[in-house]
Amino acid sequence: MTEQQFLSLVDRHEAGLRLLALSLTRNQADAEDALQEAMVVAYVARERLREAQSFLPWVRRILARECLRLYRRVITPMEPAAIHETLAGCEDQTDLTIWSMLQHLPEDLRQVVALRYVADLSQVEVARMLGIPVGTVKSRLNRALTLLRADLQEKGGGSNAL
Amino acid sequence: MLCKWVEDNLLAYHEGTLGWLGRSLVQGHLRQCSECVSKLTELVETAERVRELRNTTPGQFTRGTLSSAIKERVGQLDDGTAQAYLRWSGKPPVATQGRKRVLLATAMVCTLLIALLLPGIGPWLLRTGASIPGIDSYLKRIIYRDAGLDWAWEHGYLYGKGLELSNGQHKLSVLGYAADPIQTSIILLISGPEIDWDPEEDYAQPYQVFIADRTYLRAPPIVTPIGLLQVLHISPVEPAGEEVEVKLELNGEELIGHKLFITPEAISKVSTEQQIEVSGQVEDIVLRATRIVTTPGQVMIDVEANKPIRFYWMLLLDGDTGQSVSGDSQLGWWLDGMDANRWGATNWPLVFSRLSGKPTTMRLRPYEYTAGTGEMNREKPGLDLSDKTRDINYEVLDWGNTSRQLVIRETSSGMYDDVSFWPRAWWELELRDGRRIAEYQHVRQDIADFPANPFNPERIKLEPDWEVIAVRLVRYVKPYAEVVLTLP
Repeated sequence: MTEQQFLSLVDRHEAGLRLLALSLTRNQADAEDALQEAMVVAYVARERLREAQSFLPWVRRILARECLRLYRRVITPMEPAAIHETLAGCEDQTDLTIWSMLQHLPEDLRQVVALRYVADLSQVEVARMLGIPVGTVKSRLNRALTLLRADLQEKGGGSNAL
Repeated sequence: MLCKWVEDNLLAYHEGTLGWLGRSLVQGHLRQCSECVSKLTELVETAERVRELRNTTPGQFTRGTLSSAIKERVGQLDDGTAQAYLRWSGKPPVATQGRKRVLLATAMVCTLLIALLLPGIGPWLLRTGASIPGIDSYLKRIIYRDAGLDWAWEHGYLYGKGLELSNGQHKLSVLGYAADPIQTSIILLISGPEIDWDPEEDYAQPYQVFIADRTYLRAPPIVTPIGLLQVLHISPVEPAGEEVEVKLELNGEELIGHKLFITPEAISKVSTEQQIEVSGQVEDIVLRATRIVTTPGQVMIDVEANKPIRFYWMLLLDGDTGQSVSGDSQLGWWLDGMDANRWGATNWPLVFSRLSGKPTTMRLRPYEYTAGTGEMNREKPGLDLSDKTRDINYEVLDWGNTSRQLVIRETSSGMYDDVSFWPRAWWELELRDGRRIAEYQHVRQDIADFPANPFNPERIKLEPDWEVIAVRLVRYVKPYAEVVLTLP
């Protein structure tokens, strides 16, 4: 993949990748660091990438790994309210509500949800990345979705509100 | 006891990671337990909504800064670090179509065997329409986008599934249709050599699937490992049923064509249709509501005007509870250089999905274009850019000093903001060297932005030699007073 192709894909998916980084690090500055680091890693290895459609899964995986590495080391999470502020301006305010709820989930559940649904990793990949059994990933996902659902219903953001 | 076990395994069941025995147990249990079915629906809905976050674009995330940061960082890399990064990157995924197809074929045979051997499972698969293994979750995603289809799927009113047509190389499968008095929706799966087409990478769709001799609306497809899922919406079929012809073309050449008999009978039984006569007038414009059709997933209200007109609408639900939906529409249609009412009718149905209450009042506000200009001067901070004709304010978040983008955000909100995507509005930039640039249209013209969100900032790319000192919004809108229609 040429530099130009790579950078144009980066431009196209930049916003989504930023969100993934923020959801995993919960700190805007650290999310930016992780994002830049991950993209430089991907840039250096871009010639290995033969198909444009593999770009997103590949960089998401690199980014998720970078975020987790950084998170374990140095990150001080922002308060959920500050993250809410950062995300103000989401196209869909329902999305913003879900983001807020995600930030209020317990740490172990939030990571699993972000890796599975925002990074779009498989359950096996999530398990490998977090160093936990697949069964634990399943049960955490189940628990997280149940909590999110209850929260959504409480805030009146159920399917009827869509 | 079984409920608890099933509940713990619903997500794994939905994601297809449950073993065959577990899957059979869950399927068998779901046939008898409506509580677990609704838990599954809730779980799937929540998972889908979280998944949708990937498409969210937060307003304060400016684009275009990452590429330059990468270039800068790469320029500083030494060989040793680059080698370490290469190792760190891991192996990029490669397409495994061939292997996937073998696995899917095996999965298909196994599932069919299970369906035959275990009583009750076959009918379940047919009821959900997922008669082709491997696309279950994709099917749920595409169905969930449409409230009518969603209801029909949940309640077992998807018909016509199982029909497969092939010309040896391409295959067109009908996964089901739902027909009600508002619309007919047909779910199709297209497979063949061109299925690797990726809507994210290439917008030129190599094939065309359509309904012959009917106006149809094609929802965006979903790419699955075994083909493209596509939903076509057409107008309601005759109450006694009607034959339509589904066609698949590749680059204009017909590959497959087949007639399908569609009957709306089942869903019509749970739908209602009411002729009404409520009207209101403002200046010389008369607006009338003539019919309300209610189906399980949608509500349609027919609105008429005595001349082509655009209007903002707000539908209030359940009386004075504060719940409402709003948007923008047109009766008749005109464009620059075209005759008025070129597209015909001045009556038009407004269709609402997933309403959370009964529609009780409709507020309509017609408008037409007239001159109006907003202005903001960079050198007078604090002066808002506003559209004085509609009382809408904007603020400039970034004048392009660093990102070479002018970022402008609408700061007011309300039902009348929806008009902002209409084409006859543009930003005019005044440059320090005296030039005026007015080539940028106000960008929200796409139906995907409907209704336009006032919190979504607009970005205007600036050429290197542009130093913007003022920006003006030029638009042509004249709002009339409001017509309030009380619905029976």
